[in-house]
Amino acid sequence: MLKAENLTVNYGEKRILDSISFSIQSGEILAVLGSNGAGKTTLFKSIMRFIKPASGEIYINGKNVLAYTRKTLSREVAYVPQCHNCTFPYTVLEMTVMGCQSRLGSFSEPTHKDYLFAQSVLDKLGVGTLGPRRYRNLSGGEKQLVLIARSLVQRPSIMIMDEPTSNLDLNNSLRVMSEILRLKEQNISLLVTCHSPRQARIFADKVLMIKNGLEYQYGAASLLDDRDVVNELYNIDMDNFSDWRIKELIANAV
Amino acid sequence: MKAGGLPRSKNRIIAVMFIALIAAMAIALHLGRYPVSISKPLGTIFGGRSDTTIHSIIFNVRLPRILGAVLVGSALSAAGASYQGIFKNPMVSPSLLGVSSGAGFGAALGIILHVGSVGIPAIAFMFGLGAVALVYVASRLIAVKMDRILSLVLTGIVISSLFTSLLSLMKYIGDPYDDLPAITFWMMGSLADIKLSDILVISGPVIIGIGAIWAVKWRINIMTFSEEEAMSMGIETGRLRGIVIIASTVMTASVVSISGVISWVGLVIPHISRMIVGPDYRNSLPASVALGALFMLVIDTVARTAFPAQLPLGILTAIIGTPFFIYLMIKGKKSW
Repeated sequence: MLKAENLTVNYGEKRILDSISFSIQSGEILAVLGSNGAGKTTLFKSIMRFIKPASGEIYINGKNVLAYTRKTLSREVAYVPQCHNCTFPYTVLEMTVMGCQSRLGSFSEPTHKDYLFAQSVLDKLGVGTLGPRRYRNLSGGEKQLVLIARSLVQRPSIMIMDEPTSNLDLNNSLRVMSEILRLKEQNISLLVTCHSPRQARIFADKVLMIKNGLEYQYGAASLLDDRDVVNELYNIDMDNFSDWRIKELIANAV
Repeated sequence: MKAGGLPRSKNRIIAVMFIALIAAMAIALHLGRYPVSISKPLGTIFGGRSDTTIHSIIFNVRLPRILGAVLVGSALSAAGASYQGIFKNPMVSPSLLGVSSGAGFGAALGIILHVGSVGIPAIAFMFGLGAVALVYVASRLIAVKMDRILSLVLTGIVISSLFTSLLSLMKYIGDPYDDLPAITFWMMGSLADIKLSDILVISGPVIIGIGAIWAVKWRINIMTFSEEEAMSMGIETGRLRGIVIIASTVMTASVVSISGVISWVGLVIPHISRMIVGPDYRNSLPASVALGALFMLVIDTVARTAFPAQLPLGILTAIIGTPFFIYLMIKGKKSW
């Protein structure tokens, strides 16, 4: 369970997030929406304790996030970055097994058992055959699934995903989405940013809308049914768009 | 691949590398200007009777050079491999944070102050450590405004060029017939003057440095991903980076202080190791240690036997290493 209370974050003099509060129960998906630069990434970073909030509290399974060490925090919260490239050509299995760092002693290395566990996680995500392939040669969707597998090896109760489908083609995006729904069934709490209000409306239980660092709306996903709310969130001014095709796109975005 | 898709163990190939290293050390004992029959060198080392000339050649010339080459090669290449990981960049060499230019300046200072053959390495070592310490502290001050890695690399470049300029200053004010050639030769790298006592001094820092990196080698894999990813997987990135930087700096400064600047090894041997055993540091670090030592030993043996005059190591490493590296790049696996 994840809970934020009046979270306020400054970057130097600048206020990035102002009094954000929300909570996610286990097995719930919270979609975070907002325009670029609204503060979504900052929100993630403060949950992962990459940055320290100016005020407010974050609780993870009832315990203040500041009371965790990096390692104990990594057993509760896993972060799934957007699919990316890596400096060295690791194989998928080598990469996936890195998730077990959260449960290893300071100087111990993964054992045969850890590799088997990593492989079993890959199998469950339907990418078991990719094990010996090089991560950097995979498609975007496969990479995203491998990153999800790596974070599952941490065996977290909360997962944070940064726009998991934004760079993927339709098929890959559907594969990733269906995995996210399966994670929800395993009672993992998910905090997911996404750029599509429509997608969020369909798969999320709750939505948190951030606008200029402020909590603009927070509640059930059905909040997104109000078109004015979405237009306001993204500063969409209907008067700017006269072409019927654009109007159609806007109508279909929600 | 074994059943279950587990990666094949690279232990065998790494063992072969270490056996090759030991064999090369034994062979190198027999090579040199002064002819020594096959049975004598090992007999001399392991307590057999021998005449004083052979004893002197083995203990005062060949053995120190062989052990020196092994320590220098393994230290530079282990430091290079670990730097490439923690700085997330395969183009990085152990001198990134100024250890070589600091040591170079220290040695030049020692040469123009005529502090002698014990004093020069001592000053070089201290300035090598000092340069990196300066980079570390200065980068902390600017890291508030930017990424930690970027701030380290930038201050590393700035402080390195400062010490390079100070080195030029030493050359400028040094005696042109005496100090200047000494400084120039020092900068080219050589093991010609190495003594067993030097080996005793540097083996401690090198073994401790490699040991420390060895202990965290698997975690260096995780450090090659973004800072935040590594932290989210439970790595205290600042602490791990500190361990690697301190271990690399101590061993690089100590070997450079007795061998002079030897470039190329710390940059390229880790690449060659990755080509052979893959990028996982559980394999590539041991491979870098073995191959760095082996490569340096071959180069130094060539340097002391193949030419009428002893060629500086810094020159030979590049002349021999570059074609070899290009060959591997062409022949090597595509996905490397």
